[in-house]
Amino acid sequence: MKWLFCLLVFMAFPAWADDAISDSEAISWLKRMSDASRKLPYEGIFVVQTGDRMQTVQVENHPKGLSSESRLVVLDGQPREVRCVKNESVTLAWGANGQRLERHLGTRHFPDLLPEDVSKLVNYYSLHLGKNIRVAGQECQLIDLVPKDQYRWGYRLCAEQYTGLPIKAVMVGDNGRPLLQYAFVKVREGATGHVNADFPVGTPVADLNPVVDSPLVVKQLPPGYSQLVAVMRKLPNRDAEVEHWIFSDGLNHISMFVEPAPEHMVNAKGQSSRGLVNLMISKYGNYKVTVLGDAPLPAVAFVANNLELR
Amino acid sequence: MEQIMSEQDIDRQLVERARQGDKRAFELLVEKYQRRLLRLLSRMVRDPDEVEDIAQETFIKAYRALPNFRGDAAFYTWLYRIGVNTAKNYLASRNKTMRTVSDQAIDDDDEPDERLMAQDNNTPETELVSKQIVLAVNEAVDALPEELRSAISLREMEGLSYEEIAELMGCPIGTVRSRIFRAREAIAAKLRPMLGTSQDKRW
Amino acid sequence: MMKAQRVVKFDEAISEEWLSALMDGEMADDEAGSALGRLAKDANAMRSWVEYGLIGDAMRGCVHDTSALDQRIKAALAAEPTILAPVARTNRHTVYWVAAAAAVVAISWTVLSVAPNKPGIPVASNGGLEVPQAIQPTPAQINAAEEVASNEVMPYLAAHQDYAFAVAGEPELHITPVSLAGDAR
Repeated sequence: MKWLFCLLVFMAFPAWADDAISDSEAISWLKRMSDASRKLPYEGIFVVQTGDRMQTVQVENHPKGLSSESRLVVLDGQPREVRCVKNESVTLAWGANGQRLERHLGTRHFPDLLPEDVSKLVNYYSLHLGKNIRVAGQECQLIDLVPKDQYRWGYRLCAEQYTGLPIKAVMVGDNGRPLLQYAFVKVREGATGHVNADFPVGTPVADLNPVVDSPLVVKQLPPGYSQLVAVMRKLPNRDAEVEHWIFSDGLNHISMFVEPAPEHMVNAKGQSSRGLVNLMISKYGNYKVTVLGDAPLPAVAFVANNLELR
Repeated sequence: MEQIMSEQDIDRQLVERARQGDKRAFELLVEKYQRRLLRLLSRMVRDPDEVEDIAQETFIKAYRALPNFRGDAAFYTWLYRIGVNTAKNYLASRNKTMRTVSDQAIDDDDEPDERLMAQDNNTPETELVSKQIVLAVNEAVDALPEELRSAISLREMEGLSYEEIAELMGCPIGTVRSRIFRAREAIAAKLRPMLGTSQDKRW
Repeated sequence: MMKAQRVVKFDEAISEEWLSALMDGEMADDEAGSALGRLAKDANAMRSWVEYGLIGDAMRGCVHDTSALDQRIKAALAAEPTILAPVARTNRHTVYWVAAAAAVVAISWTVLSVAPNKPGIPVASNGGLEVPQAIQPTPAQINAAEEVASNEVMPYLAAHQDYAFAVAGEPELHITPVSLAGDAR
């Protein structure tokens, strides 16, 4: 089944009367949205939805100098609060045994989904402006990021018309199917209070060790993707640390894990039920390589197939 | 259509509580599944006393293994598998052979199909009183007004969620909830004289 | 598309309607917690619980006299050491740990293909490649794939989402009704 991707891409988004906007105009729109999500003080409540699952989150953003601090509180289920300060984010979770702390590798969260440097995005996505719509009581501009190839999912963004703050973001898959959707239910400019950036006493400020002397070399990445991090980390179901590499084009993220192969290994390809996450597990020499990401299968396969033993 | 992750039931919540040290929650699971487990085991083992022994061992094994149960399959499927394995080991250790079973009813890689079991009339010797209870319940169900009967049948026989039932019956979810509750109360009222409702006497 | 509300509110429910809903798993996690607590203390509710369970089993054609067995199992359980296996705690040395199952992505996997221990597929010269074809897996492959999917994949997925989305919630969610003001659905 030959995949007529070009045709599918244009079926994925509705036809526009106009062509894609120019690169410079696109960059200016993207920068506006990216800046707003970081530099604007705001607070609100948004919903994350994928398939049948929904999560409600309260968010506050407090710009601080050149960066910002934000606080997110998950309103469903067990209480969780995430505080993102500079390049770190820490989650305070309350479980059966009281409070516990989790540290995260990244700080990416809605509405701050765009990378800081947006200029490279126009090489791999074409931007189309849609109509004005109203979301969460705000007048918004529809902006579609249409992938130029098969290695990334598209995005439909609704940006508040004056500030550019993303009010809604939909990750769009094949045939225009929404894979993942974020949307503010209510939002307003200005954030009361401030994020207390003092972490609870006793938090070890251990940094993750970078990967050194990996048995594998990444020969090539899909177009537009670059390596963001490569760290050693401990996963819950094994004793030794594994290598965790992250590649991204700014919007789609692919992780690769490298570890010694267990005795019984199964190569596999898989896909989550809506196709958002794709996965490949394969063996290189004595190593098990797991590549997965919220990216189309060709991108995941590209990474998995372009490795080499050192 | 989205693949349904798990059947709508309280099991997951009970398992989670049991894993957090609440034994009572596990007792509720025992209460819920003991009859079904006994029926399953009766197809494999002839002697009713042995069936009870195996059932007890199954529940205790399941309790001990709860930390390893990751909730990615239904609890009862996992429980049944433990039951089948326990029964097989029991039979093997005593050089006994299994009763003839309906192969479609038990396949230890799949979950047993309750509807196939219900139709099989070669049930082991259930006591006369038990049969009377089954009869009384089914009569009571038949006597229900149609919308109550549909609601409780869809829930108990088909295992549908309230939302699915609401969609099927074309009514709000609150109405489904109310109908199932009223159906249960109506049937329970007819059952109580037979059960002699004291807490100690459990069926 | 947002779903209609299906969370049962404790106080709104009538008499023991809450119990019926609780038993059917139609109660949100936090409500279910208090409901189960109430069940433990309320003898009438407990009686109804037993009756409702009996009704369901009778409808499915299965009733045994379990009074004796029930007592034995409870006694045996009481003698068992209490298990405690909540969501894993933070290791006090390395605090980079994520929730056991990422909530944001649905976790059911479809198998595209499974093969035992083949080396990596050689790369095409331009780095491009064919989109893998979906082939019909054999039962043995499906079993193997389930083995892959169930325990193995989740920690990777969680670690991945740790970076890609700072907000990865607990796996259990309940659905809350939300209307997007003015949004066309």
